[in-house]
Amino acid sequence: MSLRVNIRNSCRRWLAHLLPECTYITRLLSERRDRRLTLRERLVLALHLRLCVPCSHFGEQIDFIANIVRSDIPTSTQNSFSASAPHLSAEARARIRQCLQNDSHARE
Amino acid sequence: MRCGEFFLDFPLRRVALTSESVSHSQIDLFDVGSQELSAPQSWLDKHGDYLYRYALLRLANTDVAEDVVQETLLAALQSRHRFAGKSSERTWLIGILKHKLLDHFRKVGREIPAEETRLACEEEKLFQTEHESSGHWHGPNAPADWRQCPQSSLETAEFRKVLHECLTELPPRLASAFALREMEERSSPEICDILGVTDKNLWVMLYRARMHLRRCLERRWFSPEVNIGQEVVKPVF
Repeated sequence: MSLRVNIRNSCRRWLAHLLPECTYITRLLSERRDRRLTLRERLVLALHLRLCVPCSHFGEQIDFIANIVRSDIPTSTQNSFSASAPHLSAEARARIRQCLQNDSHARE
Repeated sequence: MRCGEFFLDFPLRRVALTSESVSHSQIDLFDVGSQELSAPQSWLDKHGDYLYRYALLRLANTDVAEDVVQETLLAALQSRHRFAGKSSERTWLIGILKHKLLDHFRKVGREIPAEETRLACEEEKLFQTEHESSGHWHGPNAPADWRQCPQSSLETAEFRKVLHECLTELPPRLASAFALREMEERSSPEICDILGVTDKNLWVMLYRARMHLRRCLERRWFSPEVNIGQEVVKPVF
């Protein structure tokens, strides 16, 4: 009996090893962007992604977010959303101008 | 063009390279031939908004971004005699701004992360069913297929607004780590040095930031109500 339990538990551990949880896989997907994964991690990841649709979506999504923030370059004119793009408020502008003037006066 | 094609057409490295080169060529276009500094009084009008947007994207906080712009212009005013004329005026100002941003990130790295614990709790709940913690995606929490959403909708001002708002929701330390990694494209060891954290710590921070951003965007932009007809993905496990 105990032998059967032992074998069953070993099989479970082995399977769990092959099919790791999504929590672990999402971490690997994130860390893949920051460090080189080990061979074992890469294999586990590749296998999991073949089987798990949500995790492969997760990977695509974080890559997409990285691309979109990287390409979100604030140009002053050649930008389709420049009209509504954030800009310095009138108060902030006035405050900065005042600060710069004070500084240059102090130096003169 | 749909989002799916977008993914195929823009492998990560190429986008990083093109966006970088585009940004520089655009910067240079504005200041062709102006290798000498213009009058300091005109800097605020000429570059103020640009510097502000650059800072805001990375800081996700309007007040701090305004302060950083002010500090940048002040530092530029004080060190204008050191301008070598090798770059355009705007590139020079951005260089100073980047230093000011780094100072800010260093300061933020030392702050105690209170909000981050809340994010960690939310994260755990994502993988929980009503009865147990399965460790796998399930139900509406499972990441959806964003490629269903048309590419054109991602180029709208509304999408940018949602993106900025999602960035604003990040706790300062996570926002700094994310900005340094994904926008400034700095290496992990460099960021660890700036923020004063270990590499394992940094990877957890970046994981939390990405997790939050994807969930925020999915909820506010890519949710099934926004894209009618999109199939809800069920987890395999």
